[in-house]
Amino acid sequence: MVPLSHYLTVSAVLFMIGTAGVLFRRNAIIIFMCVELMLNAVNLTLIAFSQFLGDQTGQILVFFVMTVAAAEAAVGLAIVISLFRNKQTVDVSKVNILKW
Amino acid sequence: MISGFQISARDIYGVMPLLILAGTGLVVLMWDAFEKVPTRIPLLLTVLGALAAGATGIINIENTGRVFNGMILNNGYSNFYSALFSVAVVIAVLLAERYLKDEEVLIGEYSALTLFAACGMIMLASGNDLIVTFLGLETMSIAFYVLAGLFRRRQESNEAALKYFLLGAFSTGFFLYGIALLYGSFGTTNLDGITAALSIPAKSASVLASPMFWMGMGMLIVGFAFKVAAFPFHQWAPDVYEGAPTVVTGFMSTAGKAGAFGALVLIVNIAMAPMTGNPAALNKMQTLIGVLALASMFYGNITALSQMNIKRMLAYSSIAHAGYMLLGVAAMSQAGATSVTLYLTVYTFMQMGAFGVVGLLEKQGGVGLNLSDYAGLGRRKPVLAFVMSIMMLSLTGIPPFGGFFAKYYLFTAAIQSGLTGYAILGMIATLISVYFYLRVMVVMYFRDAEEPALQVSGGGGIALSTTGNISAWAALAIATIGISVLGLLPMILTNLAKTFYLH
Repeated sequence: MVPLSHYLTVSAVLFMIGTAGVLFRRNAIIIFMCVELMLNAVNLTLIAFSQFLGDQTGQILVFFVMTVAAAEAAVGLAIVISLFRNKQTVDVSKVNILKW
Repeated sequence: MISGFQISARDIYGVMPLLILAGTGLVVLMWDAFEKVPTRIPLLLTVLGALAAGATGIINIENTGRVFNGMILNNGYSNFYSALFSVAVVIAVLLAERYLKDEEVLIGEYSALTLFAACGMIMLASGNDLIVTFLGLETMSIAFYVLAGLFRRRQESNEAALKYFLLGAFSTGFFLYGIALLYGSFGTTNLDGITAALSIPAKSASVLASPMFWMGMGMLIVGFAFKVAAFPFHQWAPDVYEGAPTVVTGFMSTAGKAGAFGALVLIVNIAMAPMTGNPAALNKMQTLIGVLALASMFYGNITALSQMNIKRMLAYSSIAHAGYMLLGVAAMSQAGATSVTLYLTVYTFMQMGAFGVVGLLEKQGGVGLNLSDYAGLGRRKPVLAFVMSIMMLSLTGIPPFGGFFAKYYLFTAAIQSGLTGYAILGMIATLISVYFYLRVMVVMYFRDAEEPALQVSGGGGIALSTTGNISAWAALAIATIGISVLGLLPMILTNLAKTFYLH
C-alpha cells in the first residue's frame, strides 16, 4: 500500500508548481489555470486524508471544491473577456492603470 | 457523522435570514431581466427583503444550538451577524441609487449581487464547519469579483475586477490547503469536533506539537489575511478599492471584512479556545496573529499619510483597521471576540458612511476624488461635510463616537490576554492615523476651493441629478445614528455579545 506521505508529497509539489505559475506567468488565462492546479492539488490531499482517516468529510469537501472552481471559472473568464474587449490584451503586466 | 441525514423545519428556520436574502436576490434578478422601463421596484424589494432578514435575525437572537447536523450555528452570534449584514445591504443599496443612475448601470444587478454576497457573509459568520466557511467565503468573493467589475466599459473597473479575481482565487488555494491540513490533523472539519479534540490533553498535545497543524493554521490565516487585506497580503486592496465603483468599495471593505472576521473569530477565538491550556502553543499563535496585526496597523496608517486620492486613503486606512481587529483575534479570548464584534459593527457604519459621502461627491467618470476637491466643502455642502467629519472622528477613535469605545474594548481585551506590548504599539499606530483623518476635516473647513468652476462644469454630481438623493440621505442617517448610538451606549452591544457564546 502506498503510504499517506507519498500522496501528501505529490500534492504539495503540485501546489508549489501552481503557486510558481501564478507568481511567474503573465497571461491571465495561464495564471487562472495555475490556480486550478493549486485547487486540484488540495483535492488530492483531501482525498488522501479522507481515505486514511476512514472519514467521508474530505470527499464531500472535494465535491464542493469542484463546484466552486467551476463557478469561479465562469466569473473569471467573463472578467477576462470584458477586459479583453476594452484593452485587447490579457497580459497582466499591461494591466496597470492603477498602480500595483 | 453523516448518517440518516434529514432536513427538519428547525433546520430551515435556523437559516431563515440566509434564505430570505437568497430568495430576494433571485426575485430581484428575475425582475431586472424582464423589466422594460427601469423603476425603483428592485430597490424597494431589496430593502424590504434585507429588513425582513435583519428582523428575523434579531427575533432569533436568543436561539441556541446548531442546525443541519451541527454544520451551521443558530445562536446569538450568527443571528446578530445576519442582522448586521442585512443592515449593511440596506445602506449599500440606498447609497447606490443615485450613483448608479449617473453611471447608467441598472440597480437590479447591483442589488442582486449585493444580496448574494451577504448570503456568503452569513454563511461565514454562522459556519460551524470549515466546509461551510469555505463555501461562504467563495459565495461572498465570487459576488465581489463581479461587483468590482460592474462598470463593464470602464478600464479601471475591469482592471480592479481582474486583480481582485486573480489574487482572490490564489488566496482561496492557500485557504483550502489550510483546511485540508487541519482536517488531516484533527480528523474532522467540524468546529465543535476541533474544540473537543483540543480539550483532550493527550490529543491536544500531539496535535499542537505537529508541524502539520501549524502549517494548516498558517495557511488558513494567510487565506483570511488576503480576504481582509492585512499586511503583507494587502497588495490588491488599494488598487481594487480605487478601481471598483465607490459604492461597491464601501460595501466590500466593510461587510466583506466583517464576514471574513466573523469566521476567523469563530475558528480562532471560539473553537480553539481550549488552546489556552497550552501556554507554549498559545504564545506561538498569539505571536503569529499579533505580528500580522501590528504590521497591518503601521503599514496602513503610514502609507495613508501620503495619499491624495481619498478612496486610496480610505483603502490604506482599512488595512490598518484590519490590523486593529486582528489584535482582538490575537487575544484568543471571548473578550477578544466580543470586542471584534463591536468593532466590526461600528466599522461597518463609519466606513460605509465615509464611502457614501465620497460617492455622493464623486462626479461621472470618477472625477472629484482628490483631497483638494474637498476644499471649502464645509461652506458648499455643510451637511455632507458634517457627516464626513463625524465619520472621520469616529474612524480616528475620538469620543463620543462609536470608534472610540470599539478601540477601547479591543485594546482592553488585548491587555487582558497579556498582549500589553502589542496594545501599546497599536495605540501609537492610532496616533499616526489622527493626522490623515483630521486632514480631511481641515481641508473641508479651513481651505477655500481652488477652482469654484468645477462645481458647475462637472457633469452629473449632486447638483444635477437629484433622484436618489433621499435614499442616499436615509443611508447616511442610518450610518450616523448607528455610530452615535454605539458611541454613547456601547453596553447595549457588549452585554448582548456576552450571551453569544454560551452554546
